[in-house]
Amino acid sequence: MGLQNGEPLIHDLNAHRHLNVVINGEVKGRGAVPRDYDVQPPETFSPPSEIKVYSEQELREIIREKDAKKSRNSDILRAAGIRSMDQGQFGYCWGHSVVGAVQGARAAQGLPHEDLSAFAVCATIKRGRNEGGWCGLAMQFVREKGVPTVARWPQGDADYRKYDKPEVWADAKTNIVTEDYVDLTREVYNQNLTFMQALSCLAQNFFIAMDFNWWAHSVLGCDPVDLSNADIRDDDSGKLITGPQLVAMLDVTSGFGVRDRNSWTDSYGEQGFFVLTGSKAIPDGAVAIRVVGAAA
Amino acid sequence: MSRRLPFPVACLFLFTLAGLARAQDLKLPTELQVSRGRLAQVVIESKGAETSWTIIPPKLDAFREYDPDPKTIKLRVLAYTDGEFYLVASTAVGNKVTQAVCRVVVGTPPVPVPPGPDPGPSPPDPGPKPDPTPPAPAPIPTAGLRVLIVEETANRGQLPPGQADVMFARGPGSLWEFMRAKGAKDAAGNPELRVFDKDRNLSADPPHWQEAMKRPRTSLPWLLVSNGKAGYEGPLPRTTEEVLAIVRKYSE
Repeated sequence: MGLQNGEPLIHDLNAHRHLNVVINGEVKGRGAVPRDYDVQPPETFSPPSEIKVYSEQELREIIREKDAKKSRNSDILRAAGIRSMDQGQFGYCWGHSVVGAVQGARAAQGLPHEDLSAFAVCATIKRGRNEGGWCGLAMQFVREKGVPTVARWPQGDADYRKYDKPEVWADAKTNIVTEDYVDLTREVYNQNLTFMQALSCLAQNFFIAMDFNWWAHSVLGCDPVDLSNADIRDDDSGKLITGPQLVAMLDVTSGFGVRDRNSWTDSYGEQGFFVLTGSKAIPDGAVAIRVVGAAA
Repeated sequence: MSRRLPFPVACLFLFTLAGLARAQDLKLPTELQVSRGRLAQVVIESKGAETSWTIIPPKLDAFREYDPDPKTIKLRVLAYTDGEFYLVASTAVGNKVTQAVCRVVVGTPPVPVPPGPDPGPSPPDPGPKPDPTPPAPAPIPTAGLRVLIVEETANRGQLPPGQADVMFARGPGSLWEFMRAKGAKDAAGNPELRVFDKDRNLSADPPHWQEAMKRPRTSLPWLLVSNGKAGYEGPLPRTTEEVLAIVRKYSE
């Protein structure tokens, strides 16, 4: 329970270490920008009031049960053999988080894994420019056009003119978000409620794309995590963080964290997994996927 | 809520009953005809706070399905041999104990021989009689063990934790692990286990899943199991153990 397998914990005291990360000699891209409400007004997505939000006690019990039964979203990804995505140096995190959620939703449905192209989504929206966005922008695209496989549009290639073909978009229509998804935008709703809604979605095995303005980054949200009994250590000294410092860090999220997966290859964190807690765990934008299927 | 009576006590109840009783405080069918190897439902409606049931002789498998009304006991029974069995239920309302019995006839049981003078040599055994009730076609006629769970994702938060674990657990003892070992595999080598929202568009999925999703359902979440020759269709049980008890029947 809590942290596992040496996965890193990102919190208010060490978040700065994850701003410019080098993996295998490459500075990994980020790219999330705050949502532009002129482009995407709040009513674009379904309201979060439709989801069941658990109490803190219910959530701790659910987390304990899911840890024991290995029924977390991260277990689903591992069992399916799905590796972390790789955005390279492009600022396309906002598409990778969403496409990662589509892949996760497929795995939860028991479907065979297909590597899907986040570059198809981002490069089309940005017409090939290496430019930031937000998860809602990518989600709206995936709702309308779907996501093609990398066989049709390779990852790493932003040449949208080369791949803008009927057969690519026909392939994309087999992976469309068809059911309602949830807008957990903090701008509109209370931020503590936003965090508990996000954890509740994850506890119900819905994958979430989450944007963090402090990080200018968007990642795939996987599992709620109970850190109330976890050993949290200083990154440099290895000493336990205790007392008021720990309380101040965890109190913001009531001792909970969220396990996410980055799009910086499996060499980041523990096979791409890491945990966020404290104020760094509260998303500025988030969307959850319920169903992925073919277009009607 | 329901528990099994000790076998000798259950026999005492059975032999004290005059015929097959149908009491106001306790209702269940007086007789049920089932096919060997097929699940059949028996519903016990009780007015008592606690209701017990047992099967005599104890050669039928039975498990209880979820019902939101605790006084409605929905049992699924499964028989492996032809014969005559008795489902005995009992409850108490105030100081009054009530029993009721359902005679469960499986296949075509042998006619009992009455006592009397020696009727002479028995005619030669004509051999086993064919089951008069042909088994229903498999829900998925394609060979191999397959499992489909149909849900309404909008209601997933209302499911009891055990039921959600049936769908998503990946560890030892899970349905997924069982299907990985025993189930049919798709072209990519993955277990043929699917969890679909009732409204999901399957036009890009293989035909056998498309047809399976069209089959009638009476509630959600719903379980469909098929091995190409026979299968099960009904409400999804609440625990992995109950689901595996069903799936194992069709895995051989």
